[in-house]
Amino acid sequence: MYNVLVCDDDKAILDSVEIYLQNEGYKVYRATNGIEALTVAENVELHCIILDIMMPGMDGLTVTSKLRKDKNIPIILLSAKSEDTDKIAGLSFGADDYVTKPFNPLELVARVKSQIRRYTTLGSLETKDTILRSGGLELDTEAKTVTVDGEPVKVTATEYKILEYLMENMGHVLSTNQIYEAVWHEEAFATEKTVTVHIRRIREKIEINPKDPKYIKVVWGIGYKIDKES
Amino acid sequence: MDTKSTKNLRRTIIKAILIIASCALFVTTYFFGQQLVQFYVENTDGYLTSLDSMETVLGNGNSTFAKQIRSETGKVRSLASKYVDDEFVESGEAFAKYEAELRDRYKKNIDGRILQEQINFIESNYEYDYEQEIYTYPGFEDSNIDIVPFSSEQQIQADRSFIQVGDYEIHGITTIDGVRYYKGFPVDEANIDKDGIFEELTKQMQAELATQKGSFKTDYANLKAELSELTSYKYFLLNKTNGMIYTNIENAETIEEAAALYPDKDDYRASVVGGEFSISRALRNVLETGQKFISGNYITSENDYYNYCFGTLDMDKYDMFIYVDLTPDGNDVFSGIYKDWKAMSDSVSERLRNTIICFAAWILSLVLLAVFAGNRGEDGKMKETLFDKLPNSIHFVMSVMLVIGCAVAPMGIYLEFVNWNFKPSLIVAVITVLSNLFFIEWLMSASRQVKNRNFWKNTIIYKVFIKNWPAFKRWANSGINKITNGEIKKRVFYVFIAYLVVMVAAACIPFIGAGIAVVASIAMFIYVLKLSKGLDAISSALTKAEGGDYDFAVDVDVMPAALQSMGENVNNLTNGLNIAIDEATKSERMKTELITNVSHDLKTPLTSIITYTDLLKQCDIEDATANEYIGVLDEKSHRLKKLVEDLVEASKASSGNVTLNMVKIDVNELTEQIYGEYEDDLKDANLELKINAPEDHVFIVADGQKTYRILENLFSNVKKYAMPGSRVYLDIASGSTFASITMKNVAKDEMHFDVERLTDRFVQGEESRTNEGSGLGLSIAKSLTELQGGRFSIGVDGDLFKVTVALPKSKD
Repeated sequence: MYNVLVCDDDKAILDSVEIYLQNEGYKVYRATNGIEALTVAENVELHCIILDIMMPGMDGLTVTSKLRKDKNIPIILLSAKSEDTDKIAGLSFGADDYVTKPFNPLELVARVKSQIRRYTTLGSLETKDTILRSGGLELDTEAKTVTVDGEPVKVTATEYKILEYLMENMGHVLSTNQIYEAVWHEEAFATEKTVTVHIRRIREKIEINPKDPKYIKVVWGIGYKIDKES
Repeated sequence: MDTKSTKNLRRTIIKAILIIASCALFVTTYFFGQQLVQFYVENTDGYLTSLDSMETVLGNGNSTFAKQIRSETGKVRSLASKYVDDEFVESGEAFAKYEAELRDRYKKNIDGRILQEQINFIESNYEYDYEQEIYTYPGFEDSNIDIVPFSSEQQIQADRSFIQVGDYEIHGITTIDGVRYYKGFPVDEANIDKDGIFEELTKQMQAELATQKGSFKTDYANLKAELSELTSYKYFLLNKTNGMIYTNIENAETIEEAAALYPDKDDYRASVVGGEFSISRALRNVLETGQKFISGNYITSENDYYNYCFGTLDMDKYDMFIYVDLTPDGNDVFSGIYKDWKAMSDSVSERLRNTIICFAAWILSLVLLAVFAGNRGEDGKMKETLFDKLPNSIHFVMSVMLVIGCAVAPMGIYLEFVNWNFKPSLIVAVITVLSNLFFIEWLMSASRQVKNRNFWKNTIIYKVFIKNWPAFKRWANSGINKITNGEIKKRVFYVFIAYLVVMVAAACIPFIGAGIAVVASIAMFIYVLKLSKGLDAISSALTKAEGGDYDFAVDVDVMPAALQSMGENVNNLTNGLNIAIDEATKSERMKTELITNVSHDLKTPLTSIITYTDLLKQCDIEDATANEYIGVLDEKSHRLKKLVEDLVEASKASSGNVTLNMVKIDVNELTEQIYGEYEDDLKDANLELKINAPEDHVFIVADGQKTYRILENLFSNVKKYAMPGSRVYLDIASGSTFASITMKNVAKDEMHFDVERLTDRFVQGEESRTNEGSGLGLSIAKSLTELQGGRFSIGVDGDLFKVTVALPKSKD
């Protein structure tokens, strides 16, 4: 049984999030402000923290930075601020994920699950040379399997090849032409859209929210990339 | 018509008569006036001189007054020198003395004639040597004739052609180094008195002696009687050798006493005492002007005055005083002259009256001429002559000059030839008439113009000033006093005054002045250059401001003082503008912030709505209606979420409050990626996408994320509004500076909206607003396109809906 702390000054949101998490079998601790959250974190062994940013007393970002001093518990920020800059700020303070309000409750639950899985299991896995990894996304080049946060994902052969090519060139932006030529071993000629369609499908399989991809980033007008992540 | 021409004919005749009358009257007035002037300026001096000159002109050949004085003085002199007194005459001594003098005079005369004969002989027989200035003859060089200088006395006589015959029989005259020399010549005896003049002269002398001898005593008695009858002429003569006095002035023992009896210095008087000659101003004038006209025999020296007053009186032997008392009482010539003048001056008032009458009549004739001037033409206007077209002032000045010229010309004639003798003469009359005609010509022309009411308009003043008054006003308005900036006015004025002073000073200093002027001009040029530079700085600053760049400042310190305040104002202006722009930006940002904050506040309750709706959906509810309601709640809450998100985005995009990350973007790649994203959606909507992209990839410079947002909005539009089963076209085209992406689709509903308003916020193609969109899609797309320097256009052609996004091409 995992312990999750939910911290939000809005009681209704707190209640609903608690319901969803309890439905998933998590033990939920509640806090309505930052100081309470810190107190709970001191006293209870937590596996995930959901923090609202805008709260009276102490805001979520401050709480995050305080927690990060001695804890590496996954922290998911929850905020009405939806700007890119807000997200970047939140992640750079040490948060592991950022969910904007209003959120899809199932997505939030999925993200909590993903964080807990990675926190509890993945960290202990020894790394094999045949495994390509970016964050929770793992590619076993020997077994030709794909797992996200430890959960296996079914992909087609083409999708696997695309994913592998992207993983092999981690951090590089690859154009559809490059991907096509690398995967199909043919010269690209007005068939690139098959690549983009494939990539969207891959995203739908491996991403929690395909519109806000975590692994396969779209660089509009240039190509696609997978960033290096521990 | 007929009556008009007869009327005009009658007028012409009247005018001709009037012109003739006017000329006659003018001439008469002129002559009367001249005589008036004569009496106005004159006293008896003037009268006497004019009288003299009149006689001269009339042919008498001499001045009566002067001649008379000389004649009377001659009588007195004759009495004193020839007759001396009764005793001298009775004893016969006087005649003996006279005879001796006469013989001597004849001898001199004969000697002179001999000399003249000799000179004539030399001139006709010998050559003149121009180098030596002497007459030479053959063998002259060899002759033993000495060159002997004349005595000074001889020289004077030689000058007067009365060369005495000295030791030499004949004389030639030459000048060597300023000394005159005379040379003897051999005389041809035969040439002396070959006409027998000497003999004739001797006979004459003897005849004269005989006559004189017979009448000598009677002549003396007559002379005495004549002298005693003189009334106006007073004389006092003293023979200094024997102390004898001859006078008709009573109670006077000496000349001083005699002169004291007539103290009026302005009268006609003259005296010679101890060789000192004096003459009164009045007598001098009379003699001078009187003599002037006697065959050009002008008085040039005091000697001439002496001769006129005292004749050949020997000032070494005699003292004399003469006085002419011009009184009407008397019967001599002088009294007669006075009486004539008196009579003339008494008639002045009569002449004045005549002059005034003539003048008035002349004026009347002019008035009448002015009235009758001009014949009316068909149009009722006075016919104008060529002269009428002349500017009035010029015409007037021309006429006046002609008139004055004609009036002055006779004056000149008088002054030069008749000396204020205003005698009517034909030439003067002709000139006068001409002058009057010139004046009448102008008068009638002016009258015609007045009648035509264009006199004023035809004046130079009107033509030059009044007509051009607006231009003058503009010119005057452009003056320095219209400069409202006190600083500029003051500075520019001071600089100009300083420049002027320096230039004037330079003009006064020779040589260095030119240098000073050059230096001053260069200084002035530098100042003007500085002014221009300052103005240029201000001008370019303002040009920048016009272009929307308010970040500039004029460097006031390097400007001339005249422009500093202006420069400061410009700087203040830009500061003001910057403040205003900052305010505007701030206000726009505040608006965006407000919207953002409101949306944050909306998002929190919205989160609860969405989550609880979802929880409701998970509840095991049997009621189908309740499930349907939950479905509506779910849908609408998601729409609300979308609306809130779009609202924030639209607000930021339209206020420009967006950070752009401009990079080189492959349009083909971008469309591929978007196709990939929307492939399923389009398939669901039963739409087929056709991409027409050039083989060569097209590159633009844009923010990838924002450009994606633009196209995402377009695709979501297509998804919502395109006719199912139709094709959607996406064309990529590359222009010279822009690349464009055009999306075309067939609308499923009839489009009857204003295309222009589609990009306004919250406008949707359908008025009912029941669709899932926020109505902000196209507005956001447009704002984002324009933020990236692109152009966004929408076209509707029947059911065809077309959107074109043009973005700047990448340069490499």
